[in-house]
Amino acid sequence: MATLDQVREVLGAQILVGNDLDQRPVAGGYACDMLSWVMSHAQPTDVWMTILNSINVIAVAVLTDCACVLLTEGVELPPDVAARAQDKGVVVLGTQASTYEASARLHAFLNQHP
Amino acid sequence: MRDLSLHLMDIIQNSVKARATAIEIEIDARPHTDQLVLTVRDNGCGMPPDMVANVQDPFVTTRTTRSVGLGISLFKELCELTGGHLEIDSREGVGTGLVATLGLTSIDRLPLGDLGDTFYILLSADPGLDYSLKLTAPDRTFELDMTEIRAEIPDLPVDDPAVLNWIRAYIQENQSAVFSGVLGEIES
Repeated sequence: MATLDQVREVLGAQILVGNDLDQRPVAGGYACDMLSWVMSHAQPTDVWMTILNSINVIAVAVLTDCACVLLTEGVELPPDVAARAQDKGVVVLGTQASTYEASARLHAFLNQHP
Repeated sequence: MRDLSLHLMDIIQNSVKARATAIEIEIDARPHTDQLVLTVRDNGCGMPPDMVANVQDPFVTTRTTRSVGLGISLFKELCELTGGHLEIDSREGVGTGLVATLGLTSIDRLPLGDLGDTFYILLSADPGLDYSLKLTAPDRTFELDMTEIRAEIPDLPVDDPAVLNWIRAYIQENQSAVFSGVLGEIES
């Protein structure tokens, strides 16, 4: 299975919070900005792409145990939210790409590396 | 939670869990200040001050099965996204009041949803609770009080399907009547 480290490289994403990315398997992606919807749909091996950056995002990441949060469109991570992500062991990546572009790249990569 | 009625349901379930026997719900559309104000007051067990202070933190919850409780956090975020705010005031042994203010015409404000369905579900689960519902717009208002309704139909249980269906339709009709042209939502 693909690892988060490989996925990060393919997406050209930055690590905003987190380590041991090579220990985290990635099997899919989930793109949504409605947190309650993500709570009931994202899977533990998903890269969750969103433009939201509140403390609630970290809570939803913990709840779904998703592989990471990928902040798209250059959205920044506020320091207090980054601290909470660190504390809870949530990996947060960042990219300038849109959610659409990041999804497309991830999908293409995962098709070749199932 | 794709509409406000689902958030309302979540808040009311908190009141039920707090062993409230009376729950007052008010929805007030104020076009002159561009606000939609949702208020829920209960006579449940209330919360200690430190829990009220922490209730907006998504990692604080009464649940023991997991470390995350998100209902209030998500609703607060939604309120702030629309230029509004959410306040909670609670006293142990007295009850809890929650006031959620949303920007009435903000593009991010979710539609109100179907209050008839919401009450159908709430009354099916807890027919004995003293719910009251008040809908207010500048020139119209609607009030429903379950204590009065029960007094009108002493021989019928509130969770009788005929009663539930009637209450649902009655709320739906009045939701349309009170908020028609005020919420700026497409009516089906």
